Amino acid sequence: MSIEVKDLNHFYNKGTSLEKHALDDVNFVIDKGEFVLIGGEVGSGKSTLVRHFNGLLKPDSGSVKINDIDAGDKKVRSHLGLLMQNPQKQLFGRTVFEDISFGPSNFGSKGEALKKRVVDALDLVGLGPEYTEISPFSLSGGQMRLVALAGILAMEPEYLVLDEPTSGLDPENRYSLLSTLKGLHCSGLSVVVVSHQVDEILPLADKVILLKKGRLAFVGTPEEYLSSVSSPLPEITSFMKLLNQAGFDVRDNIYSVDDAFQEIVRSLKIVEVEQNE
Amino acid sequence: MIKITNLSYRYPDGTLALNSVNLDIKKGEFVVIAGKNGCGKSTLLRSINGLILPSEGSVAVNGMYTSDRSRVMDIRRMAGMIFQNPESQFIGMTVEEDVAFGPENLSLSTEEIHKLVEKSLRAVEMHEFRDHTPRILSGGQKQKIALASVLAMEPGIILLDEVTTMLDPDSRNEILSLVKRLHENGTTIVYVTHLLEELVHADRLVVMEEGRIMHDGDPRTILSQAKVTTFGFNLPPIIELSRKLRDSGIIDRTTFPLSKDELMEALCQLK
Repeated sequence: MSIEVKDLNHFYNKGTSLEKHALDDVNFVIDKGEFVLIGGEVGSGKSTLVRHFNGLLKPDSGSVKINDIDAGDKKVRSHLGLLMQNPQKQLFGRTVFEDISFGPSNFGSKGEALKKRVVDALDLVGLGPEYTEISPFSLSGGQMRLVALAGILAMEPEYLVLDEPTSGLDPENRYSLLSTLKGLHCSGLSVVVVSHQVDEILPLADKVILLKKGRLAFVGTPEEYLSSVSSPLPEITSFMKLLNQAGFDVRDNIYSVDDAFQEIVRSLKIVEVEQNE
Repeated sequence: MIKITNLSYRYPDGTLALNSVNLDIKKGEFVVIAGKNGCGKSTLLRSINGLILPSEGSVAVNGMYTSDRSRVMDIRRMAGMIFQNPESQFIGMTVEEDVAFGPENLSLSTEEIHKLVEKSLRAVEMHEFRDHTPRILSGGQKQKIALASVLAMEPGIILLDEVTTMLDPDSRNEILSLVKRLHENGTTIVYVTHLLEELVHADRLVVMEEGRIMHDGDPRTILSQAKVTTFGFNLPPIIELSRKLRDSGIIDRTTFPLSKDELMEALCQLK
């Protein structure tokens, strides 16, 4: 059970003067149950990559398989849900219920079972059943995003893929979305987050995949990522690297404020002892 | 330069977005207005150039009231505004056309318009893109063009509303250093954000909550007050680290480093 990307190539505007090799021989596997960060700068091919996961884009060569099913097969959509950037733009229902129930009702769910799915999905994103009858357009941006996420969760996917889910949210909404994702992962869902915000996703991830100009630049654990990749890094990590360059003896494969504090205290004490001697 | 007196604003549905706000901004200041979504910071900014008119109280820019309809165009010329989404601000087929739109409406000569456009595009380092269509530019480049369009009107005040939210970290830093440079050249900056790391260059911080001003003053003083986290921010990691080192007496309590460079300097002095 996995997402398997094999020798994936994708071109935009193939055969024209604007041709762009957006994905260049990309290979990796995401196992079921993992929390994965897909990082990279704007234009590195992250969004292009995840659009292959549910068949929105087709490979020019190579393949993407979800649980051994080709990603172009419609069956994939009940296994894998994709939340695109600014998902509030995808809302269309007159009520939150209409919006969230659209997916599952297309797959044959109805009546009480459908109602339950909608309420359960709302519950997963931290919204109560009282939201079902109101218009999604009367909600705040952060809540609209949660409703869009609930619409995907109502399909009961095994893999949840999110493209820049926190961009444009204020710190409070950001925090609540991140803890929702953490909870979903703990309950067994595979979560794949595309983001250039390494700071907030890295602490949650089991695996990091980094793209650079359409090529795979790194696959590994967060610890390996922090020691071997030069950018993008969490703020604290890059600060610790700067400290090392300035002659402080600190570990630089850390990203939390508390760890950084401990390291600085430790290294300053050593300096002090040396001075005393 | 900007004088906001007892300003209240009520949405048509009755919600009070601004509640008796008083704020004086002097010429040349760099003011950051921060607070969580819905605190009224964007509404306050939009009140400054008359996009939103007071329900009560008044807003005056260089002595001209926004409620005086005959002066609104003068106010907007003096106080240029840039918004969150760079997509929504383009009207021209080319970058040059877009930047020229404002000056064209001031009935200037063609030569003068060319000069203004050239100068503004150079200021944001985008003059090589003058013949491009804005559509194919990156988000950061689009925001630079939006900034150039505002600069072409030679405003004394620039109002920025979460302009970096949709940008990646590199483009964000570029926009921030452009804004810093404009400030150094004497432009008054009013900068709305919920990202405190963008505060580094500001000389004044205004924190809003539920339509009111909760704090107004020197950023370092406000951040060193104990209850910062209660106004809805997670502190950026570097500021949090800095604060922790400061609270435990490791770095000097009379300073408050807000960026990596400043914190590095403070730590190197201890070595």
